[in-house]
Amino acid sequence: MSKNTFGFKSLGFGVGLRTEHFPYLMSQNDWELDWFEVISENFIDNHGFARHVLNKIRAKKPIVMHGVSMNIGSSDPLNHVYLDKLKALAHEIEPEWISDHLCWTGVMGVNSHDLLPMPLTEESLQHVVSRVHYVQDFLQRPLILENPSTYLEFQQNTFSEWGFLSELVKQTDCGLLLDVNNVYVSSFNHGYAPETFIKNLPHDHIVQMHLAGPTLMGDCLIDTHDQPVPEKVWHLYRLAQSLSGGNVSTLLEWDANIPDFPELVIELNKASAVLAGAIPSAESIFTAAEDAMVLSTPITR
Amino acid sequence: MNEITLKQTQEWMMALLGSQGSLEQKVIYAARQANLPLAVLAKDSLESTFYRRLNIYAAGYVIRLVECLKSEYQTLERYMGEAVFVNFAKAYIITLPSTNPSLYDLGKGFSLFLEQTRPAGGQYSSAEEVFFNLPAEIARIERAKAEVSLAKGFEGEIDEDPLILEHLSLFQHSLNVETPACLRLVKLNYPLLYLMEQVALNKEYNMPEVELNFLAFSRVNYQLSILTLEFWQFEFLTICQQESHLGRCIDITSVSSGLEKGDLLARLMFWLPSATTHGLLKVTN
Repeated sequence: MSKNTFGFKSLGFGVGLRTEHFPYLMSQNDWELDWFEVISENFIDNHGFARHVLNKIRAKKPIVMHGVSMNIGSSDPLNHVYLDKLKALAHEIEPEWISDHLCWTGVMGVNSHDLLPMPLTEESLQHVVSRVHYVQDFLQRPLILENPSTYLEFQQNTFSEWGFLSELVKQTDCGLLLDVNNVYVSSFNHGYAPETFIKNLPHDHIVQMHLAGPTLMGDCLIDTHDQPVPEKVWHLYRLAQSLSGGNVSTLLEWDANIPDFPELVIELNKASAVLAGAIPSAESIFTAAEDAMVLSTPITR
Repeated sequence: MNEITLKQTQEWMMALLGSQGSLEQKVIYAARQANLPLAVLAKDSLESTFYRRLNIYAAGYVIRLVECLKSEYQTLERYMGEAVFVNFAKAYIITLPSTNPSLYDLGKGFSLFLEQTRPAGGQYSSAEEVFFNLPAEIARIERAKAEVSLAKGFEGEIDEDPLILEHLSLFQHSLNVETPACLRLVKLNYPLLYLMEQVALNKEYNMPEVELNFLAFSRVNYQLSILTLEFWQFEFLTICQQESHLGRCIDITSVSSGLEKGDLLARLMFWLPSATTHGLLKVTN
């Protein structure tokens, strides 16, 4: 396995480990992909069958721990019980890396279980910088942070999202999980060019990329993780890979209306085809029915 | 207003997410709570867009967690009907918001919430009482099943010598007893397992009569194991969850269950092999 300039292995192509696929995964000895990503919170308090499945998978494939509740951007204190559990899980399953999101998930002790948007200000930056330093010291490894999908921007913002991320990387040496679909979703929702976002990141710190399919609801794209990857996202993915060395670990996210595992692998395999120059042309953006309530970032099991 | 801090912005948004009512009511509530009018946070030209998109977060917050409760309380949802279930789930989420990074704790207090939100006594007939009592009891069973699936069981541990329970070995005072972390003991006022099976299968059922009953939930090789218990068995397992010395567990159970010690020993000799097979406990040297 090759490494990027930041020092992380390129794992190849993977998918998220989901409950729906447990029977299939346990009945097979090989899964025709390179690695799996697990949602950390689904395992830190789970000592049942899911942990048994994870142990089987871990014996054969690299694992990455991806969190949704570190709450790195919150004005609440960091949750040390959570960090202890995260560290214990990492000690047990030895993930290639640990990631979470540049967002906040709660404040005043309440957890929304959603990835809420940060005000992109100097105050926020310094707050997140100090917390990333703390978490990296605590976990004794670089933290990898993902750009979330956002649906609104605050008036007090003084940074672009890519500017904020770049400065965060510069000040903490953290890694980036570039969610290409989230770039597409946020750029569509806020009216900027997604290419600008991708071109202005510190590419040598991009450790992993996410791919997914969104849903159009009115004038807004929602990060639903329940559709095939659209053509525009494939183009952005190829651009991001070409700027980042062409070999960044890639993960397909699919968290609602989850297809059977072999079908999911077929969708994943499009990523390697894209890197070889074959961009799927048929996948347009799925549009929600007018009265539908579409859920962003569905809860993954 | 000068600099709006990160803390102010987040407290405003959390107040908005966690409040009741329409989006307009939520915005008014959040503005009052955090002393931040919407116009301070939204770009002027985009204020209406900002307002509409707040609903993606506000509605999504509740819907996401309702879906989570639905997945934990599937039989309860069928029993109550989706609309009623969702109303209670929404009220629960707003009244007792999640404080844990893990979603596994989200439904922990739902049974108690259902119990505490029943109509007060005197507002319904005795025939109607069962309708208001069952949701909380069904929730307790479904919560127990969820917890059993997550906690540590005996899987992966070395099997004990099966002969340990033979040849009157219970009279040995050196034996210890251990229950798995996943063991859940539930005391109910109605017998519900059959009703819940029928509800899950969409079949007809009769409403049960009041009848105190006891259930044990555990796991064997990652499979859920359910056993109906007699009172003395429930007492014995409850004590075994707190005390590891078998002899002391027997002594305490004898007192709490009102059974003579000899009678209790005889019952245990017949029952313990079945209890161990169902993953409720193990007896060790």
